[in-house]
Amino acid sequence: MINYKKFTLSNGLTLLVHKDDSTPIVAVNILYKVGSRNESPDKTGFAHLFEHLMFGGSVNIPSYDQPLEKAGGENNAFTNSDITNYYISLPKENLETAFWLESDRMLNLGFSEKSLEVQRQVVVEEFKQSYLNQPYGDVWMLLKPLAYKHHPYLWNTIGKEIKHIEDARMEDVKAFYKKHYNPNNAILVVAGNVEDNEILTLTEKWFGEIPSGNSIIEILEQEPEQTEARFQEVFRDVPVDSLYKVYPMAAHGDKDYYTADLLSDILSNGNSSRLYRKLIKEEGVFSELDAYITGDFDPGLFVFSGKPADGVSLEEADERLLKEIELIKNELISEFELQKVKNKLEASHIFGETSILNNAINLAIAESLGDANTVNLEKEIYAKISADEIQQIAQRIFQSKKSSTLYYRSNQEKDATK
Amino acid sequence: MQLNRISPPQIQTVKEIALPVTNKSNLSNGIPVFSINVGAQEVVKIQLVFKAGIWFQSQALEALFTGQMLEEGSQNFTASEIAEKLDDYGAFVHKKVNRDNACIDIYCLSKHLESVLTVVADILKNPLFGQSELNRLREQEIQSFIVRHQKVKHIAQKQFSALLFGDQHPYGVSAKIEDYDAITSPILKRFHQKHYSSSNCRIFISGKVNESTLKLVNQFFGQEQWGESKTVQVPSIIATSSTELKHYVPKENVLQSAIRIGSRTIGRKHPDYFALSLVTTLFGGYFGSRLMSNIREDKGYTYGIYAGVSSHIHDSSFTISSEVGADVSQKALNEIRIELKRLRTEKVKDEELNLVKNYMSGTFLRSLNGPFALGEVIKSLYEHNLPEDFYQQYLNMIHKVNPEDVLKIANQYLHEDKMIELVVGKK
Repeated sequence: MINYKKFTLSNGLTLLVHKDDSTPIVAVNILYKVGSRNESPDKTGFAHLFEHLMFGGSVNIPSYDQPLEKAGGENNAFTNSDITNYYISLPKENLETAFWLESDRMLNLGFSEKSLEVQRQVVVEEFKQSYLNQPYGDVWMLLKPLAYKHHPYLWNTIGKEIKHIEDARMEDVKAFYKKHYNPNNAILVVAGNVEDNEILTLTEKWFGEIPSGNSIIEILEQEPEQTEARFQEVFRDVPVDSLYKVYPMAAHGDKDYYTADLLSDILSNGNSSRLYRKLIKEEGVFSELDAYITGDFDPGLFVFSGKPADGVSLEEADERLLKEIELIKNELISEFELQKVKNKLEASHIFGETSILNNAINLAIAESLGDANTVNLEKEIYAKISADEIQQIAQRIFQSKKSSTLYYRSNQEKDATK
Repeated sequence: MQLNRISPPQIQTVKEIALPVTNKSNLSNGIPVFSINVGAQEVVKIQLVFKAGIWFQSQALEALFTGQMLEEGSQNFTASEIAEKLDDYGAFVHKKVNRDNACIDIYCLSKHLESVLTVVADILKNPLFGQSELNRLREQEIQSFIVRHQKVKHIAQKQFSALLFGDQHPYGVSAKIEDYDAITSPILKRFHQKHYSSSNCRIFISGKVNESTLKLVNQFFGQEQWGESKTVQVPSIIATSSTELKHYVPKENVLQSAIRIGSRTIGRKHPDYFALSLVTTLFGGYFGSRLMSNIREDKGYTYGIYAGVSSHIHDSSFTISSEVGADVSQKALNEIRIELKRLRTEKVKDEELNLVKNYMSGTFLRSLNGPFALGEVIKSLYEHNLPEDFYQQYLNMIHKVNPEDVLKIANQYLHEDKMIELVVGKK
């Protein structure tokens, strides 16, 4: 159970306070409801580039990192398709430093030419390091446009191509900030050994005077129902073939979302899960195989990814995986198997709750989806899911005509192992 | 009143730390147990540490495969029963085989501790090392070995350890593809018998710990001697660094090169250790470090660059590491050398020095966040055989370092002309 109190400032900023007196550290998390899905198709990678620029100094504070480090704090941030999230952890005594820093960069960012120039280059290096200079690094650059034809999820958070980042101009960046970085588009969470009143007072003091922005009504183009199986094959300089198969599924927070999540656990969470036990351990068809869901705010994907074992072709591996998928569509799973994944999920939640930063981030994400209290209700939601529902969701998701399959083939000689 | 947004709020420096009390006891058979009772959740983490790391192996992969195979079947449970039971109790068992030790971490809900220990005790004491399970694991491991070897970063890591310690030394050795075939079930059985025994074990417990926790641990691990009763001696093995300083491994068609620069250095028990760890943090151990500010934030050559000391039980090393744009490898190397030289020739300003001190205190506090993190801190204290007030000393000593000390330390331990350099990719 993660207790919390919620407040809303008159400028629209949402504040959540979570008290945990077992730690000397305070976590301050600020989520902006903007991700790569809010970008225009010809200027992709902006939300993420912007995350980098947020560390380039604000109008009253030339360096963001230095004063925080001086206060013994540490920060980081991540951007995904739906949100941009910034977090700080620091000794409780120096909590106000976090308010000072975060409010100033929400009020007015510095926008130096130098910062834009350097961060463009840093992001280009990140693009290379994570997507291009990595075996299998470009998989999602292929899969997303295969699975999505209309919805902005068709591009990756890093951007469609390096050129979009290289071309980013100051005026674009400023417009992006003006539109999305406003108190009414943000959720602030403070977690640690703190009192509600103390935090509310600090929030009013530092964030209260920041004017709210125009409310954003953005209607994203939704993906029409897929009616035909899609297939792509590529050859790359990698040592081992790899198989990817994705199916559209429900949006984060839907009832079906939780059922699909549990289904993915049955298939591949843990050493006793179906795919691991049968296809890796017993039959040795795959050397690696995973099933998971992307968890996106709009309808996302149910993903299979795996590497066939030595001597097994992609076609054989694909066929064997499909058989396993058919099995879960056709046969009801046992009560024991269902209860087992529920137990494991519950345990993971409890282990996760030992970290206040984790709790702060989860509260912020749940609130941005509509209600922070979901973090406490999920346990019940999962507990109620029945074997029948698992079978029904499998039948609905795993339809051949809704699949997108990628064969990622090695073009290396088999003996090129040194 | 107008809010002053220009001056930072008052800050305090963390100078005192309060570690929870560690309870020390022995199981009935003598195994030492270190436990701390912390945290709000009904969870417990039990770590069993054995003298069974790479340091003790007589052939490559022996230690790693012994650890990996533990869950693949035991006297009373098949591999799939083990997996099924542990999943059903929501428990996680992590096997970590490192250069010095093998550590089995068990994360468990308190209510399931007894059931989980029933399984874990059997896999630790009576594993079977079945041939077919071994063959399967070997195939998986070979494939992931081949994939890893495509990455410049991975090649650099392996190669650099060999340059620092020697390619036969436990800290420098790495497996070759043919080593996988040399591993057999009898070899693993033998290694297990000798090293996974009650006389070579220490136990660390963190989370919700009470009498019944300790009683259960004693019931499963403390009743009698298990494994070979002989205490494993720690062999002394001498490391030798490469005398050649510049190394280059070409790799075609890469967008980035991996860079490693460093040398062997002093460990946690050396009186200069505290100051050295401060100087390396200032140099490359945090986001605002000299290296990050210059090579990422000013030049944009990389997504990240880091430097730090890794302190193992028998030896330690200082390493600078980064992946940089392939076309700027030389420029990046030059900048790193300029920064090393600047560190030992230009006096650091008080402001920068104080910032680093405060940052390190905060980082230290963060490492105490949560019951399991605390458990790790306590464990490393005893594993490295350090005094109980080591961390308080660490804080005190860091705050005493002055700009002259920084110059002295940099000259003594971080001279750019005495470092080994490795580039993997394009020069």
